[in-house]
Amino acid sequence: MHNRLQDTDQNGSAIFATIGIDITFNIASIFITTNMPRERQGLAGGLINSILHLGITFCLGFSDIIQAETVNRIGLLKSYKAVFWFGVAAASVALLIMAFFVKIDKAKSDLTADEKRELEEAVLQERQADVP
Amino acid sequence: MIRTVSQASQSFGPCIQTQRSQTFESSAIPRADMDGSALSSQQREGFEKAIAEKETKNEESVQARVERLGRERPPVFQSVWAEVAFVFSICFSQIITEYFVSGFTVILPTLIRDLDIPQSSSVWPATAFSLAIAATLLFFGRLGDMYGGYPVYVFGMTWLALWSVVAGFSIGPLMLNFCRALQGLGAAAYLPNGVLLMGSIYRPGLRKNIVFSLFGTSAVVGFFIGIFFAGVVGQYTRWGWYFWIGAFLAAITAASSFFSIPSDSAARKKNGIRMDWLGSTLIVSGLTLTVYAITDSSHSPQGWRTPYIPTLLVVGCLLIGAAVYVEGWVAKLPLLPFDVFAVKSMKPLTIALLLNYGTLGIYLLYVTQYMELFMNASPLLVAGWSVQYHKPSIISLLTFDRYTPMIVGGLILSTAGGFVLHLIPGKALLVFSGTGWIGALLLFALAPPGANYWAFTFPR
Repeated sequence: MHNRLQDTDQNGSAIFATIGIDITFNIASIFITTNMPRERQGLAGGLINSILHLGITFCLGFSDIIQAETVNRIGLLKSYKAVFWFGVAAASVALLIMAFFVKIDKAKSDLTADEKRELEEAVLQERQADVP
Repeated sequence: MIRTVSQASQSFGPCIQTQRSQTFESSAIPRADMDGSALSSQQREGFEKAIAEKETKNEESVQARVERLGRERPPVFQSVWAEVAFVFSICFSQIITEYFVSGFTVILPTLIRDLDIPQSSSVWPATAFSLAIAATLLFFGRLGDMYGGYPVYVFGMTWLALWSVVAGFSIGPLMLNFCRALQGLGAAAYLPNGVLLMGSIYRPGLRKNIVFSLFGTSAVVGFFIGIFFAGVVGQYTRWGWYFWIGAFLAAITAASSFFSIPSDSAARKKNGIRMDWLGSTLIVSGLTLTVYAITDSSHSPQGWRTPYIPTLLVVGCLLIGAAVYVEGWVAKLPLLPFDVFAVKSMKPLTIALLLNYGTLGIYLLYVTQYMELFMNASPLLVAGWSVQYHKPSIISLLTFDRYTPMIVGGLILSTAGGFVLHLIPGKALLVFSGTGWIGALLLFALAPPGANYWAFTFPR
């Protein structure tokens, strides 16, 4: 039924996709919730899930356009490949952004965003009290 | 700005020290010895020295204390079972959501046949669900901030259970779409609030990483369960059972959540956050119209040239533009305040995530179709796409075989990831993950099609 190359493609692709979604989603969720104060945790939850759903929706919309517009010129198989290349391009741009612009450190034990804010305010007050 | 614990110790440490030594001096040094005689100056010095040492030890341990807190069970849970029940309740929300997404794709052919859904609108039951979720997420997240994650979460889960039961009794496509949309509202209610509850209770640290990774793993588990039950139901019994099994799972989760999640509504009501009605209306309607226009564009009679598609798209975009204006300049407590993006790395992260999740969408939809059309050439496919509509168990078996490495890999990777996130910088992991996204599609972009494929034209 399938040949070995197809099996490798399917399994290899599945492993790659797993590496993609599981790590990214977890790190992004932890980062976003850690950096928001307590009264914005609902907003954090809303953001995390909105980005997921809207990203999927808009990208599928683009992909549909690509697939529908190319199928008449280069055939069904190649139109699907066009969609895959679009996906590769999008993922490459995302990789570049992550590599150069996103600075997320280890998710280690730390003060919460609220505690950091309180400490800052306390320090500011101390400094203002010191100034005669 | 204070960013690290050591900075906090440095800035705040001296304050703590002076306060503490004052307290200690006044009360900790005893006035008299055990037998009542006054302390000699030597004894007094001894006491002062011990206290000073203790203080410096306490000071250095701000860092250690934060480390310890990051690993401990949060104080709101009285026992390990309370915590397990809580994590179970929240993670199950991911399982159920994925169940209703992945399983639905498998049961859809049966539904099309049994409910006489016309081909052109066959995408709507699935779209109604995700559209309802995407459009109303922020609104329900705000409700959680206002009234507490606990009530909104339990409400959402119960609502989903209720409308899943009703959906199982659908008698036509309209009722099915309606029920799916309402299911989506329930999901939109509990999804952000699950995150709210976990994010509020858990301190940054190893424990939080593990819990959130379990949360992510649950999505994979739900994906698996959805396909499994949909296949079994489609093969052996009436399709309604798919919805009723899901409703049962949701009901269990609702009950477990009701009892195990600590209530935060009293605390949150004190924060005095109000609903941004103008922003909400604009965002919900804008997103609904835009997403509808984009999704329907390929299924409407003339594609993008059908009059109502560009109209809706333009109106939707205008509404979103108005929402941006309102959130930025008009609303007092905007639903989506722009200073959220002032957090370092937030803007690039959001853009990169949008692109990455989009790749996921392409993978889930287009790769599946590609594999079914061009690579799993079996006698069933010779008769064309329609044959598969009558064999849901075959679909689920094929899908099993196809998705097993993904499922197993996902479970292992996601759970293991939780244990190392505090050791490896996030950026390195994200870059590694980014190559995964590229590789997943690149393999298919480059792959030569299998030996058994036909370049048959697929009527659209």
